[in-house]
Amino acid sequence: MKKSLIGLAIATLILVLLAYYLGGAELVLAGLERAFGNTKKAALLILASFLLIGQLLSIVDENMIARTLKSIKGLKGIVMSALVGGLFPVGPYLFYPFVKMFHGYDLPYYILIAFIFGKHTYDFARIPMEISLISPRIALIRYLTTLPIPIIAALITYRLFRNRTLNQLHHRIADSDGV
Amino acid sequence: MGCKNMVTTTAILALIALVLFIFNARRTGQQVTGLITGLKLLLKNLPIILLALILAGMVEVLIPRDFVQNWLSAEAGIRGVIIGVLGGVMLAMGPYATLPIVSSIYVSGAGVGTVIALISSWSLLGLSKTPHEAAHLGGKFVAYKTILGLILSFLAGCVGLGLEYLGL
Repeated sequence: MKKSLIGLAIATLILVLLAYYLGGAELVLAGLERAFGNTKKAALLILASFLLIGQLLSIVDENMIARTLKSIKGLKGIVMSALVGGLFPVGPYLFYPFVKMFHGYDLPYYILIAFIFGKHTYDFARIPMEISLISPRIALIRYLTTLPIPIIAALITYRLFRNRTLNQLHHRIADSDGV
Repeated sequence: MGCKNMVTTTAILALIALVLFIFNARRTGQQVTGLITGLKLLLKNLPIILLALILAGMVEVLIPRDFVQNWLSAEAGIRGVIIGVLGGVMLAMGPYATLPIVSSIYVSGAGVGTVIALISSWSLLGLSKTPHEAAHLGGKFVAYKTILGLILSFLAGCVGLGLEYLGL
């Protein structure tokens, strides 16, 4: 979080300096004016988005997700895993340790892929932000066009690796390295 | 986004939040916790959101119109989609920083296909995720996911481009 903030501050500072270099204080002020205008327009939307995300976070819990993932297979399993992935409410700092914690290694690889692609592609907690910060039309088209991505990714993975788990694939790689 | 659209969207999101609040109150009793979590999350992310909005404002005034027209607009076709996919991978930031920047690129005239490719590849392959994936799931997993992600983000961008050509 701190690193992101510092990185973003540096990037912003560079662009402000670039704007000053290219167009003087006038261009910097024009950029700030746009930023202020967008902030004013989106303020209430952003507040509503976060209230929604807060409620969503308190509905979905990690145990429910781990239980669901361990009990499903096949096409239904792919769709469910992708949806559950989209509902999973945490960022990468907690997401990958969680996958490790509930032995994601021992799930069929295609289920794991559906879950991870579902998390990144659907991420339902991000919908309000996409709607408020970009536009409802783009958010809708984006969701519709990327809706099949986790399912296609999982079907390709099933075709390539069948029911093998990531654990088995790692062992196979380790075995072949050993030979 | 137009002012009327903005009001409608705010009202819809507020309504959904209210429905979830009531659902939470009846099912889990965690509605107040949810409210506090949402506000805490907003406060925590506020500096990033504000900085990202300033950055996006600067991008809007700095990005050359010719560049957008030639490389990112619908007229740029597949070229715009490819740039979108590669740009998305480079955006190593969270949603609160990335989405305002994507918005500024869209407002500057980028095509729908480019924007879809950008968001898809950022969400699947953004560089900020790679160290976590490599550490927990291994390099082979990252390589496999990257190949799949690149292909599927490109295809999603092409579908977006096609929809834009159809006037949707």
